[in-house]
Amino acid sequence: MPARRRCLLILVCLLAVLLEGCPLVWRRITVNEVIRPDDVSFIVPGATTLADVVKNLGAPGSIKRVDSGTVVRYQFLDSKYFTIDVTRPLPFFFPLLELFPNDLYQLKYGGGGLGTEELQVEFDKNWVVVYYAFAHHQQASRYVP
Amino acid sequence: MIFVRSMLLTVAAAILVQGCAFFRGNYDDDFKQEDVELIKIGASTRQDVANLLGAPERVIEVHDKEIFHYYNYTVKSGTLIFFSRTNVVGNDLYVFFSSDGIVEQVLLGRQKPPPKLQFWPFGD
Repeated sequence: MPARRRCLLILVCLLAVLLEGCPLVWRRITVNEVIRPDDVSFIVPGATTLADVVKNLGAPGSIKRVDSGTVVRYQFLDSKYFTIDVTRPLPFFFPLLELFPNDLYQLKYGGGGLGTEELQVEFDKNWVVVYYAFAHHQQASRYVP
Repeated sequence: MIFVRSMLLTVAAAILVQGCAFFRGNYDDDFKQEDVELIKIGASTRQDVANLLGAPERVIEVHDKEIFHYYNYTVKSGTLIFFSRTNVVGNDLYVFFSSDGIVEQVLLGRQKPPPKLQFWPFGD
């Protein structure tokens, strides 16, 4: 193995050892698929029925009765979270710290956001579309140091 | 020499994959198409549906009619050193009943594809 590649491999391994226990974490959780405006171009208020909507988009995540009819919702959730433990490398420089539980000196920064994309469709009592609308909040999902 | 090199590579790989985890799980089972097809619109009762699919997760009342709501979730999660991504996909099934308790409509539609196993938390 060339010396340069060997050095790079050793360096990466050292980095992995130093970073063991994940002092840095980027964590993301997604639920379901995003429905885009193009996906609902077939919906025509006053004409499209619940069966048509389900045939194209699948069954909704929730159905709720309202006074004028029924609202169905399709939801996509996206959660991003970043955390850093700035005190994690300290025991390598101050081995005495190994004698103490790390809760005593641990300092973590973290933050994130939860964003949603939602499609709401309201039906009248005959299950014909009255209106449909998107709620766009996916930008709220971001890594915050 | 080859043995030493192989050992070093194995040790390097073991160090690099520490802190890695891949997980998969599910909440409830997938809906079986053959069970759903046994539900007869205009004939099956609440009991028939419960015998085929089990008790529903939720019962919703809309315009004095009952709707049986079934759902399941599939989770896949990957963690590689300090990147982690969890994908969850849910599928829903609704069975609408008339005021007489007879099946009026079954909503299943297009099933979502299973979640991808990923660890990269950036991008789409």
